[in-house]
Amino acid sequence: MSQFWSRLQRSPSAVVGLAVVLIALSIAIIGPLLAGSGSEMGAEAFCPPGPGCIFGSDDLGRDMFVRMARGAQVSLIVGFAAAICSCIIGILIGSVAGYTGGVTDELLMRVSEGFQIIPQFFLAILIVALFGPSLTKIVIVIGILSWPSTARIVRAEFLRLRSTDFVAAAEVAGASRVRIIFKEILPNALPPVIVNASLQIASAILTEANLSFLGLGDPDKISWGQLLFSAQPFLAQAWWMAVFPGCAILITTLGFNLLGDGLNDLLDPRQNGNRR
Amino acid sequence: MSSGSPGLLGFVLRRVMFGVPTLFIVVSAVFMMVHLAPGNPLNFITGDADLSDAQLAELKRAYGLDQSLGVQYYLYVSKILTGDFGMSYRYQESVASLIIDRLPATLILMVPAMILFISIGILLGVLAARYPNSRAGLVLSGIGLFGWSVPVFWLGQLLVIVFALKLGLFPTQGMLNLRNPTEGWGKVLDIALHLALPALALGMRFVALSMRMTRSSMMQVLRLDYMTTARAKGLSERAMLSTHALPNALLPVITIVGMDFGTMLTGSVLVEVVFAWPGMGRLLYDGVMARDYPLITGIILCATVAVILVNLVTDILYALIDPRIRYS
Repeated sequence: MSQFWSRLQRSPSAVVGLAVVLIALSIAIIGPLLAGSGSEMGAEAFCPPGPGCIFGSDDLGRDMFVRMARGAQVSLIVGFAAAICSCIIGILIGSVAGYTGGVTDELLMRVSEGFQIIPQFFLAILIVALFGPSLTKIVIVIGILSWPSTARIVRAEFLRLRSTDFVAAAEVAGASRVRIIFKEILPNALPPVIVNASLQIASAILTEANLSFLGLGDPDKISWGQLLFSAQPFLAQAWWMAVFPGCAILITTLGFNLLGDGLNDLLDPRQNGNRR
Repeated sequence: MSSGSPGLLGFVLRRVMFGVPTLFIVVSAVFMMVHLAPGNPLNFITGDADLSDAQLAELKRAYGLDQSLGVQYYLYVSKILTGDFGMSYRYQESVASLIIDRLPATLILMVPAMILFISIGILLGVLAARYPNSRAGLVLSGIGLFGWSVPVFWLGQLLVIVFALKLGLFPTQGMLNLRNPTEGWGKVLDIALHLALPALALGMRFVALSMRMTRSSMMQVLRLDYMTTARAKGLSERAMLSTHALPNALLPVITIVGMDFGTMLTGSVLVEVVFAWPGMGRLLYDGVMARDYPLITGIILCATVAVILVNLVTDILYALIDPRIRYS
C-alpha cells in the first residue's frame, strides 16, 4: 500500500484527480446532511448568489446550493453504478473470450464490435423514452451500452496472461477453469480495468446529464443534469442556475478523467519514457 | 494498387457483410422495444380521446395492429427498407419528410464545425507532441482534458450567457433572423452569425479528441527508426514533422474521428436544443417531449444508419490509405 502511495506521487494528474474525486464523494455523502433534510424553499425566486444563499435560488425560490448538494449524490451514484454494471458485463465477456479463444472469442468480439458501432446515446434515448425514466433504468442502460471497452481490455489481458507460467502451474495442479479465470488470471488483469472504470464513471455522469437535459432524467431524483435542464428557460434571468451545476459536473468528470489518465501513465511505463 | 485490389475488395466485402447484420439487428431491436414498451401503441395515437370499440378496431386495422407480431415485423422492416418511417403523431406528416426538411440545418451545423475544429485539434496535437514537457504542452493538455470532460450543452449555455446575453455579440438562438430576412450574402452572414456559438460549443470536443489522438500517435511515430534516420540525414525539424511524421500519425486520427461520429451526432442534438437550431436534434427533442414514438424511432434509426455507414466508410478509407490493414 505504501508502495502504491509513493508511486502515485510520481503522477501529479493522478494525485489531483484522486483529490477531486474524494472531495466530490465527500460532498455527495455529507452534502445532503449539511444541506439539512428541511425544505429547499425559503428564498425569493431568482435570488442572485450572495450571503444567505451562496449559489442563488431558482425560479421557485429553491436554494441552488441545497439542490446541488442533493444532486451530487444522484450524479455520482449513476456514475459508479453504471461503471460497475459495465465492468461486470465486460469482465465476464472479456475473460470468457480471452481464456477460451477460438470460435467463442471470435463471436464475442464481433458482438462487442457491433455494440461499439451502435450510437449508444440514441439507443439510450429510445429505451428511456419508451420505458419511462427511472434511475435504475438509466444506470442499466448506460451499463449495457458501455461494456465493450472493458471486454476488449480484459480479453487482451487474458490473452497475454494465459500463456504465463503461473497459469500453466495452476492448470497442472488441476485447478478448475472457473478458479483459473477468477482467482489466477483476473486479479492480474484488473489494473487496466480500473483505469478504464475511472474514465467510464466520468462518461456515465456525462451521459446521465445529457439524458436529463433532453428531459429524460428521473423526475424523483434530481441530478446535476436536471438542474441544467430546468435552467435552460431562465438563462437570461438567472445565469447562476446554469453556471454552478455545470461547474460541478465539469470538475467531477475532470477529476475522474485526470485520475484515469494518471493511473494509466503509472501502469504503462512505455508512455512515461520521454517524460522522465 | 492493382496488385493490392483483391485484398481491398475482400476487405470491403467483409466490412459490408458485418455492417448489414448490425443494421438488421438494430432495426429488430427497435421493433422489439417499441412492442415491449408498457402501454398499447393505440394509446399513443388516441391519447385520452374516448373512442367506441368499432373506431378502435378501425384504427387497429389502419395501423396494422390487428396482424400477428410476425406479420407486423415483416411490414415494419419492409417499410423501413423503402424509407417509410410512418407518420408523426405530433406533426401529422411523414417522419421521412420531416427528417429531410431538418437535415440541411444539422449538416450546416456539423460539417463546418467538424472541418474547422478537427484541423485545429490536429495542429495543436502536433504542437503538443513537439513540445511535450513545455508549459505550452501543459496548457494544451489542459484544453484537451477540458474539451473531453465538459458537458457539451452546458458549454453552449455558458456561451449563450456570456457572448449572447451579456455581451450581445451573437444571437441567442435559431439559424436565421426571422424579423429582418435577408437574401444572398446577407443571408450567409446571418447564418454564420447564428452558427458561431453552437459550432464552438460542438467543436470543443472535436478539438480535444483530434488533439489527443494526434499527440499520442505523433509521439509514437517520432520514436520510430525512420524518424531517427530522417534526423540523422539532417532534415529540419519542421520538414521531419510535416513530411515524415504527420502523414503516418494521421492514420489513427482518421479512424478515431470516424468511430466517434456517433458521439459527435449526440453533441449536435444537445447543442441544437440549447440554441433552438432547427435541425434533426431539435426535432428529436420535440419528439421526446411530445412522446411522438414514430418520430423518435425514425430519427434514431436514421442516426444509427448514418453512424454505421460512417464507420464503414472510415474502415474502407483506412484500408485504402494503409495496405497493412487489409491483410490483418
